[in-house]
Amino acid sequence: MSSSPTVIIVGGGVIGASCAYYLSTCGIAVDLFEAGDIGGGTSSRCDGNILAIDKDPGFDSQLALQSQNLLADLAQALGPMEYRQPGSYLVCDNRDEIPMAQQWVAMQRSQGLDFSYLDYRAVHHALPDLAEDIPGGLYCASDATVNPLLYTHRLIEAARDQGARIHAHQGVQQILTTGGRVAGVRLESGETVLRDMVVVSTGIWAPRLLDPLGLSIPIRPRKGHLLVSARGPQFGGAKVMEFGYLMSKFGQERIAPSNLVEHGIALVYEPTMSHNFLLGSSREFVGEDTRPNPHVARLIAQRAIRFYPGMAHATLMRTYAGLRPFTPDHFPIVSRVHPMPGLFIAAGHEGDGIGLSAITGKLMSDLVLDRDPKVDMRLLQWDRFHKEDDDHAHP
Amino acid sequence: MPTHNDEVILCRCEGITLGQVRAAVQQLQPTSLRELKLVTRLGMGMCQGRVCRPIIQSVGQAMFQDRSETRLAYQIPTRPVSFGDFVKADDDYE
Amino acid sequence: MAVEVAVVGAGPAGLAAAGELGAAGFRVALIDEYPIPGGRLLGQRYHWKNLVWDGKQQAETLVDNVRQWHEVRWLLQRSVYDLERAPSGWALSLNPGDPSVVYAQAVVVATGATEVPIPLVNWTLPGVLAVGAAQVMTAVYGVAPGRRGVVVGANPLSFAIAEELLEAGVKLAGIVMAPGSENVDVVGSLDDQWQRIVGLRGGGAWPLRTLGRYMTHAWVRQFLMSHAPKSGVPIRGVRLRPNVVATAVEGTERVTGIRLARIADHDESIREGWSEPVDFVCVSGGLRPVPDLFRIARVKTAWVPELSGEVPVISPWGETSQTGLFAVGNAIGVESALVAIAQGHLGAHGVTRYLRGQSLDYRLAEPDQHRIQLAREQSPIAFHPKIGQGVEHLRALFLESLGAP
Repeated sequence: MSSSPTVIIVGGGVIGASCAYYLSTCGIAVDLFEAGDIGGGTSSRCDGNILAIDKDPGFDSQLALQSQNLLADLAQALGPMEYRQPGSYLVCDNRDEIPMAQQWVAMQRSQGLDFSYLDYRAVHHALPDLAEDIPGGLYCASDATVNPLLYTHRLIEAARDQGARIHAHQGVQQILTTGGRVAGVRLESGETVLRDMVVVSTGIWAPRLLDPLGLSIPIRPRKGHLLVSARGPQFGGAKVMEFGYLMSKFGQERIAPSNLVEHGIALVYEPTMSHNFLLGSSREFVGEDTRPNPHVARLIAQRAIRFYPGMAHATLMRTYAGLRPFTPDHFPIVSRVHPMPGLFIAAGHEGDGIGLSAITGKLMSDLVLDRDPKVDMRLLQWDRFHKEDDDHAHP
Repeated sequence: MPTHNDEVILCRCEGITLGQVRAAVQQLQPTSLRELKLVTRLGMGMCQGRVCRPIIQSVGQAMFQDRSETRLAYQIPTRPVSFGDFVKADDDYE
Repeated sequence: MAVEVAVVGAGPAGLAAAGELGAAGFRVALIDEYPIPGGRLLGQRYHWKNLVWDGKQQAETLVDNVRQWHEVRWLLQRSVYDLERAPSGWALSLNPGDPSVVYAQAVVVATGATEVPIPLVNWTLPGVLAVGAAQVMTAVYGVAPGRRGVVVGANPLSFAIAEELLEAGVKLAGIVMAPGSENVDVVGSLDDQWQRIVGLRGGGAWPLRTLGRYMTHAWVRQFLMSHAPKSGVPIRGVRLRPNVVATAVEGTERVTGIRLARIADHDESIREGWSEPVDFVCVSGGLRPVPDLFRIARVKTAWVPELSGEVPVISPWGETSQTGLFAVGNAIGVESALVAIAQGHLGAHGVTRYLRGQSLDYRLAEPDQHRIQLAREQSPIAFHPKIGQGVEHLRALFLESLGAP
């Protein structure tokens, strides 16, 4: 390995952009290759959430918190990206959810996070447009939002200023190896670029690059819909989700109509700085088609009206959908690939790409420079999914 | 031809001027019309391009030449619809 | 609501189709966004070979022809915002939702064309309007857009509106050319604009008609451009100003003037600028077909400049690449109302065959296609000088698609 590592980053979405930023901040020479537009894939088909409210206490929420703190710093350091930190809410659909909500708050507070439980009066005071029968909810003060594509661009802009070379519309066809270690990449144009290290940050397309190397990672595209309102009445300035969102995310039992559960429908309300709002959410495995399904979109709208009856009079202007890189345990892969020295993976952030982008970039710079990441990286290892089958011991 | 003044509004719904578009191109260096749209909000207002599409396309043509990249997507609803009316259709869904 | 055919758009093409389908005994839903049926016909009043073309009257005739069939349900003031396949054929989502969905075995999309705007500095001031708006104001509601205006953008449509306005007693500072720049070039160069104006064949618009023959030569156009007076060339009372371009709208709370400039012929650079007082500005970039529903329905489309934009690839029966979805009228190419009406009849015949399980062999469409061609030849207005090429190109694309899997 050369004294000054030279790194290729494959994929210019928010994760690749963050890696480029943090690596170039450390003085590493970076070449980022993106097949299409910067952020043109999943990072421009999502919303901008930066959440701790829905993270399991422990590693999950610690990672999220660290990332939130880094992002707050980035918001100061980078160009404008519509960053704001109004906190976020979870609201309960029915009384059966209340004890779980209270438990959730207690667990989080015991770990030192700024959560508060909201009883009936408190939740309706905070969110006056909520349906009358909503029994309660909770609030997390550290949560923030950003414009995901602008943020991705600001990371790239700063990386560029720090010497990173950014190559859009130049996709990587293949990762090259020699003697069992990384040698560089071959571009779609046929050109080869030789470097010591390659970081794969291509989200749902990561398996495509890794399978030919005999490296299997269980990332699958999971489709999520978004509805866009026209400018007009907003329903509060902070993100609001339904508590059932947690169940949907973690595959737990949730009391809701079956058609909602089938498509993984759960309310997500996100006001934007353009004076409109986004509505989500849905989760389903339906291949790689990003065209919105009107039936799913209607279920999302129905769910939103259940919580905000006044929304029936707001105007739907557009729908879109994105494919998020799902992993079975809902943690991303941020990892060295030991069997292939020089190869790193930063992918699989389903639903938390924006939120965890900052910590991912920082951890990747630690991995590349062989510094102590101060985070238990075993939970983010690329091969943790079939550890039982793994014959090779890791240091 | 006389150069359009930077003040000229290209997207009436969002009030985006040619000057703002030029600044965004310089700072953020978008590489396609879709990307330009997403970072400037051109065509993201109420009309969803019904009025301004030819204007945006001509900007795209000038800046990105490749015709295949200048096609912006159409998504439902092709006209604004209230959320209330939108969900009604599902009740009657076959 | 479930019907056999849904017709989207009650302009000349949609009305003609609905009339034929009603006569054939089908259950039809005729849908239009506007409260009054007629589409672009409503605003049209032209003089043509000593006859007056009264669009409103034409529309009324077409409407009466449809109204006699009780199986045709009228759904006015409703927009179609989604068009997707359903088990029985197609599902159209309507706004307002009354009914919220129309199910149809076959669909005729006759959504027409929309205006191409011309951006000018300060064009968001009250008093700036598109040609269609000016037509509806004057011809439908009898309201003048102002006392003295200017038309920016030279094309057959702007010429038509200029004549209509003059007839309504509105003063005009003439038709001036639309500006363009390397970044924002919506209507093309002055030469492009000139070529579209001279596509105006009839309309008794001599000397334009005679000049039209000579205008195909670039040097003739350039000669006229450099030698035409700043105040324009009067053509039936309309001052066509081929070497004057609009650069900005003036006014603080509303339009009070238009800033103009003289264009040098050879390099199209600005020579001088001055203001003229007007209280309205009519911008005219022409029309473009509306492809929205075709894209949503995953219909194969193509960009055909001679047809003024993006159009569906259709068979000679008007069927798109999606079975049971037909397209007629300005949505398949900007032409005159006479052509749209003929296409509406053709589309209805195609749908009839489709629903009755009869052959849709495209060669059988020849007689109907011939009628469309006659209508084309009889039209006073051609919106593009090479419209015939566009039609041929679209047909070639269809034949190509037959070979494709």
